[in-house]
Amino acid sequence: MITGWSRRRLASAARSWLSLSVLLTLVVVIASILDSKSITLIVTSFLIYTSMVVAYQMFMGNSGVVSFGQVAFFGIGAYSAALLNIPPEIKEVALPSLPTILRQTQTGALLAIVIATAFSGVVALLIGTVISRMREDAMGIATFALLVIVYTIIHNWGEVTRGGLGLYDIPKVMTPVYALIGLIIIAGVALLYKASPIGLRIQGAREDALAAQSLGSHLVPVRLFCFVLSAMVMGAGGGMWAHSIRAFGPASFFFRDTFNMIAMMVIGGQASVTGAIAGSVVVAVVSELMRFPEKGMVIGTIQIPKIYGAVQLSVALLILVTLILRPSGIMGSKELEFPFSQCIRNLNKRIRK
Amino acid sequence: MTAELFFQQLINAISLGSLYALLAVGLAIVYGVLKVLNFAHGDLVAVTGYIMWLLWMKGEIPFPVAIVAGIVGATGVSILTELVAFRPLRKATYAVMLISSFAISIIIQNLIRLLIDPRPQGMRIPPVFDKVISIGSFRIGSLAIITLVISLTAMALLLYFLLRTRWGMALRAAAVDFEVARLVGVPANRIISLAFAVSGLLAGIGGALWVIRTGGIAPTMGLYPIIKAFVGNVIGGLGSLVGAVVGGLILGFFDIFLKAFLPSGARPFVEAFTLTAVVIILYFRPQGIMLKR
Repeated sequence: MITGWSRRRLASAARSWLSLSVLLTLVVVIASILDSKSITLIVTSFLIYTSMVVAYQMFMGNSGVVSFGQVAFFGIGAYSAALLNIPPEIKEVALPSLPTILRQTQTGALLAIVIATAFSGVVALLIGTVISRMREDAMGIATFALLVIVYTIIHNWGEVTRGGLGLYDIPKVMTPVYALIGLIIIAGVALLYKASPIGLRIQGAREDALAAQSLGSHLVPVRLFCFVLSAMVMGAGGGMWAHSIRAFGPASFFFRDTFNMIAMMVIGGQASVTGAIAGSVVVAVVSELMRFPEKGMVIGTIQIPKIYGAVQLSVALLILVTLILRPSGIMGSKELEFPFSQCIRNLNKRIRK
Repeated sequence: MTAELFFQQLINAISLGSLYALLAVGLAIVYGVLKVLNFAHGDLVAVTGYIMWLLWMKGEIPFPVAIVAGIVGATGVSILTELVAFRPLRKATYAVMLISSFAISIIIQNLIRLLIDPRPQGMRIPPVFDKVISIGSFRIGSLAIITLVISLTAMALLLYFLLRTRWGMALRAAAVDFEVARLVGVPANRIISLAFAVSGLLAGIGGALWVIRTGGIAPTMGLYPIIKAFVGNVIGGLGSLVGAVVGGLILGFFDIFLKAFLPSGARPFVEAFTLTAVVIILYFRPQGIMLKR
């Protein structure tokens, strides 16, 4: 599909992509200068988590359909990548009933993430053929059912996932630089998709489904494509995440993360990739700050009691305030664009003088 | 499976299905007037549960009183939810309202954590509810009968309210066409509050039965009731009250009969099987079974 691409949109997407890449690279550079172990960890997990929020945004922002199910693909991606790359001697002990081929192979992180991405895509294609045919308001519920289905399977399929015990000893290879590369690629895919003809079709359907259909845009394949693409990117994010954390269990892929990611998107601006990134910064900062009252603190001689649920309460209130005051989020549908070409032009002028 | 066993399971299925139907109908009533699925509906079950727990386990207040207080509490919280999360967003889109109700759900869960207790708790259930009634070789739990009777009574009263009273009529009119209903004199805000009150009342009744069935409470306990209510509505067809009842009953059948027929190794996956079956139904009828295309 070469036809239908808009040069203006492509150029604008490329500018946003460059701008975001520069900003994110700056973050990583600063982190590497500070060179502290905890900051490195925080930056890595922030970058990986943000790439999943971008993946979530690709579906929810472009289609306008509320999904409660994308986190399921985070789980599928993380488990499949981990199973492919846990050292065979660990699998021999922890997962003796795994098929022999899977038990004895260790693919390396990159291949594991690629396979996890593809596998998420296959699952999404299966479930998406049903979901994309449904009415808009029913779709959100169906994705919620998907979340519960995947969680139930992961939680109970002891032979493969070790159930509630979780997997361990996944090689921890993700560094801030790898995570940065991952996020930049993912942001590029998201921006390209947003500017592409098929992406514009689903944005048209978001604004007015009936009008989009009357102009000859078929809703079902367009939605299916969006769902599968988002799921694949989510799976890739899950694969990266698995390689940034030594051990994890099924609880990481359920309600709490769904809530966090939805909060990040809604607050930042669902229709924008920059918004997804901005939202994850805001929510991450608020969560870190509110973690102190949740643990209980001592100010001088006064012992402040633990405020249970302070993190989630403040994030939920933030969602409500955003929805009431600025329903399209911080960024709306705008993207960050540094005026690069203008800078270059000005620079040229100065040189000529 | 013998005929008797089958019949017993059938009664269990109808009983559980009627409980799901009760929760689904409450959701459908709000959907009727506001055209949004209220995510916080499940947390009303938790509100009921925690009020019952506080009064009965901590306060030593008789069980029936605790139940009534729980139901009243759920109704109150439901009306309050509307004031906080939906009234400021009257003109908003479906997606915005759905997310707002999702945020309210999280707020209720965390207020329970903060104000009452962060950990799951057990609930002592009076022995009336786990008697086994046997007629000849036919045995059935008293809870199944009680659930069935209470759910059917509640739904009959709801039907009477909707068909025979002035306010019920106004509610139905608002569900058909909100704007026209307003034009002929139905007060908008009051009718929406009423819908939330009725919905909360049903969630409270369903919630009490749910807590008695599970015998425990937790801040996030609303998750499974809301899934059942959501999915019940989607199977039946969004916006149809009859559809919600049928959807709830179908879910009850799936749950009981899958548990009875599946080999024991597959039993933990019942939830996944039920929902997969639902997805298959929806492939053939994406609009739900009770609605026309």
